[in-house]
Amino acid sequence: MVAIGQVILSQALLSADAKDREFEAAVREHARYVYRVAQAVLRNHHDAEDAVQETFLRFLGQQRNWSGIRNPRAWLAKTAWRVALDRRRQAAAVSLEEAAGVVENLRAAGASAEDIAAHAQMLALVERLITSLPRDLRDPLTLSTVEELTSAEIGEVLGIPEGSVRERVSRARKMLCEKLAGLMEKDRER
Amino acid sequence: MNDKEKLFVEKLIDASLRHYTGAEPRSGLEDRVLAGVRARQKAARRRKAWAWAMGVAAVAAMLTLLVIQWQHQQPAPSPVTAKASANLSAPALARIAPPVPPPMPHRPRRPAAPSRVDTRPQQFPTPRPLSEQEKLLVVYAQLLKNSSGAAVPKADQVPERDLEIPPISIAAIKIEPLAPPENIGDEK
Repeated sequence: MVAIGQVILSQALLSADAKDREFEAAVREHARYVYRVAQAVLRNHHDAEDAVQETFLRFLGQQRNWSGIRNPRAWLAKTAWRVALDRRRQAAAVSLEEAAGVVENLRAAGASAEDIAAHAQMLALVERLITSLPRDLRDPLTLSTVEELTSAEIGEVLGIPEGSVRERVSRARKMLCEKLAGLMEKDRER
Repeated sequence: MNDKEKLFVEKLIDASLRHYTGAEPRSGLEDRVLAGVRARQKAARRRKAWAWAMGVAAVAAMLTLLVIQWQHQQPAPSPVTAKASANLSAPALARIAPPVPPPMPHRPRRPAAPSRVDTRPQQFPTPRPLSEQEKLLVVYAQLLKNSSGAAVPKADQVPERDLEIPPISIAAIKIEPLAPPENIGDEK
């Protein structure tokens, strides 16, 4: 009887240890990817890290159902997306005209599109423009900025077909271009 | 807007979107996440353990109170119930018997208090030594006895004599007739 008890206990300990190692492996494999998903929404290092921690805590809470999770990567992306949306704050107020003026000045100075894109003012401007998009376009576009996410995975996160993701991302880009072009034209007219 | 302009804006948007989430996390993200998750898990376990301990303590306290209350309310078994329980079989008794309270911790027995010795005298009133006056009376009685033989007869030796009671003479009662009420009307 005692021997049976010892066997059960040792197996339980081994199982717990295996689960712990499995969890650590999952963190090491997916933490950066989860971070990028959170960062795409939150745009802040600290908030994004907190969201990553919360996401993995929820993953650990689902320990018993791990075998039932078909695609852990997609599951983590979906959870991180929801956690980040819950934590999202209002985007910093940026003057669109002012930002467009900075972009125009940089362009006039001969800066390439890549250089201008790396500029903080340009990033703030894009963030503001994305925020102004309708939600059904904004969400797929935001997730498409995470390089590691495929259209299929974005579709899984948002619960829409892969084709719809592609179509919405395309529409969102087009809308962004129009908005930015309009701002730059206005700036030139002034 | 000409095509060149459009192309530039498109390039700019594409580049901006690439930079949008291009920021790399600070090094050691995985270790920080693991440490944070484990600390939060440990705290959650501790909270759970505390909740369990409090619950068990509350249940134990309630049980103790119930047992104490039950012991206080337990009436002395009447002869009828005593007889009935004597007739019940052991399993039946086990079913209806209340839970036996846990055994009390062993305490060393105190030495039994010595039983009270009955110090009351066998004779009442208690014999006491004679007082001075009694002693003098005894000496006087001895002297009197020696001088006149049976000077002091004992109470039980007094000869019985018939008591002679002289006849009692009681004069007859004479009742005088009342005078007729003659002058009553005149007085009016």
